[in-house]
Amino acid sequence: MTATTMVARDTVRSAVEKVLRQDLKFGSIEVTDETKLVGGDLPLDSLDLLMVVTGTEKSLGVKLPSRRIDANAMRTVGSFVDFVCAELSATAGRR
Amino acid sequence: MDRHEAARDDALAVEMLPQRPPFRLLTRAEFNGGCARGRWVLDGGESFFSGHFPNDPVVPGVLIVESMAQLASLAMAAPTGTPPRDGAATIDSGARETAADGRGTARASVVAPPLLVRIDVRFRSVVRPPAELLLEARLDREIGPLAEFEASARLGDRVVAEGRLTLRAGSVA
Repeated sequence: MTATTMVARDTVRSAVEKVLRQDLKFGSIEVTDETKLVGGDLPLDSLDLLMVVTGTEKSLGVKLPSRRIDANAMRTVGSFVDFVCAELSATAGRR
Repeated sequence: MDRHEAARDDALAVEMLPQRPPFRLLTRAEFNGGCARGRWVLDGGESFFSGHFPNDPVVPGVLIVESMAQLASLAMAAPTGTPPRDGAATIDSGARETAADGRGTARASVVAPPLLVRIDVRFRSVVRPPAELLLEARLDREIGPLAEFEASARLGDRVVAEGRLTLRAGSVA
């Protein structure tokens, strides 16, 4: 992973964490890449998951393709961050 | 299709709403592939104006949102890419089906309407009767049972409310 993508991942990671802590009111909980978004550590329902997506989009000023957002992408904080980074890279590659 | 047929089909679309007067707010609606347009005509005689506010009638913002949500629910029900004038959309516990009798007439029924679960709407100006609100709802994304819409209400060219609505398919558990 290059330095550029490392920065991008940190930025995405911070955006996702901010949505969880502020928008979804999880405050001071420990958030790691392994933190499960579905069926685990955080009691997120489908609306919460939608807010993770839209909140991250809003924070980063991007639009994610709904059709590719699946259970695997939303499995953990890390998997969602990687999904967003991959989409950002793909979008940049198409420019 | 002549103007009479178009008007009949617009009215049919509204008939698909599970809401009934006085809470069916849409006067006319048409939808196609996740996008719906409609209107809510207010003549000032609606009962809520007697209290909102006495001698100073203002359309409650929450009802403007409700009218946008009713329109979005039609867009959610519309089979993608199928104009309503080709037939009626029949909704049955979340399943989507298009039906027409082949003679240009159509039937409509609604079961298990979608539920409004999130509102993010800004109000740009006050609306007073008489008024004809022009409504639009456009499906932006679907994730699982949720559908998120961009929606707006206008008076002529002036936007009076706009924002995002999220609906959930299916009935109350």
